[in-house]
Amino acid sequence: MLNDDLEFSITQYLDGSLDETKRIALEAQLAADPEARALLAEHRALGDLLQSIPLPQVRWEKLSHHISAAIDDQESAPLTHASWWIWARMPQVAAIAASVLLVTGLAMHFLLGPQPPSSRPVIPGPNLIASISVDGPSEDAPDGLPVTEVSIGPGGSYAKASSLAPYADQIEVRPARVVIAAGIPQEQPPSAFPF
Amino acid sequence: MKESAGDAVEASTGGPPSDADLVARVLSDDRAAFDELIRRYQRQAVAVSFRLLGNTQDALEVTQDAFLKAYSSLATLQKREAFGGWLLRIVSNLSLNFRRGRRTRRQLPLDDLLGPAESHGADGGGSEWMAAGADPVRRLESAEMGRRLQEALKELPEKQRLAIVMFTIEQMPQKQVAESLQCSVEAVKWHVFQGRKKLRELLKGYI
Repeated sequence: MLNDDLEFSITQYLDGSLDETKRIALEAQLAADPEARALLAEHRALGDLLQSIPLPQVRWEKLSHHISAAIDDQESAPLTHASWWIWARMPQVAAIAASVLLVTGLAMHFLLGPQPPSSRPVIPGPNLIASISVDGPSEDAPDGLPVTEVSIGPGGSYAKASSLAPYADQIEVRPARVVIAAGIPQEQPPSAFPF
Repeated sequence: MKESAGDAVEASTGGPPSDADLVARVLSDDRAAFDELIRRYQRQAVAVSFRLLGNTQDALEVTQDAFLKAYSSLATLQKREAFGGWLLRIVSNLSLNFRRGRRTRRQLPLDDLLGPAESHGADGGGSEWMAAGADPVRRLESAEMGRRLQEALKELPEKQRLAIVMFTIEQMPQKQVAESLQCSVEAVKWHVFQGRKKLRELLKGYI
């Protein structure tokens, strides 16, 4: 028997819920297997420990009186509201209420919803025209001059590097060259070129 | 409290009324029938709540709240004969949510409700686990053991903890535990097994 199966059987054996056939098999195993007996002893000790937790000593008669009085208090307060709430929470009542709402909703949709277009076009009167002005965020304006050149093409910088020169012919994939250039104002030094 | 509905039924039929009978009576405005249900289940309710919360005051408050809730929503109970499992489900839900959603409650008169040994040590924690009257070393060990056990129980997943509390500790019938946990009897066995297995590991040095 696998360990988990054995332990499961032992817990049921101790709880008295193991069926007859399995009980006989387990007892045979317990007689022959010291490890199984040790496991049984541990679970028995655990069960005893759990059941040794004391309960508070309550005066039960007084507690039941107290609870009963609390129910009377609750009952005498908002009785109509409470009974409405009980009714409202019954599943049958809830189902009927949901059906009524659904039918009412559908009826209103068909009776008051959008009408099919008639043969004559409907021109709205002037009082139906409305204008809405929405102020959104303004477009970001660039500080510099507009871009004047975009150039995309092979870079070839790998092949030009002296260390890679002997292998230039073997380089099959070269990175693309991308140049985005802008006009530079005359007063700006060349070092300020952003690219 | 009203005159016992249970006594009246018992006298006429020769046996205690079933839970289903009592629920039916409550629903037909026999308020006293609910008192019989309180008497029948208050001990289990307090026990389960106390095992989950480890505090007498909290357990009594949860028990009262659970009966109030059960009374006000009794009409929603589908299987009247399963009142016990249903009530304990309310008790366990309220207990598990107690810390999270603590609200102001009407204080229960603990001195009046508890026995003399309990009324001065109902603040929870280790003190409740001590064996009154034992020698100091034994009391200390008992308190330590109680704390460790309480911590170990708290480490179990919710269903395993409830299955251990209701079935292994309180020895409730598996069917009632299954109704309470809203699962099958086989699932209860499995939760008990998993819970026991985990507790055995957690309490290795103590058993």
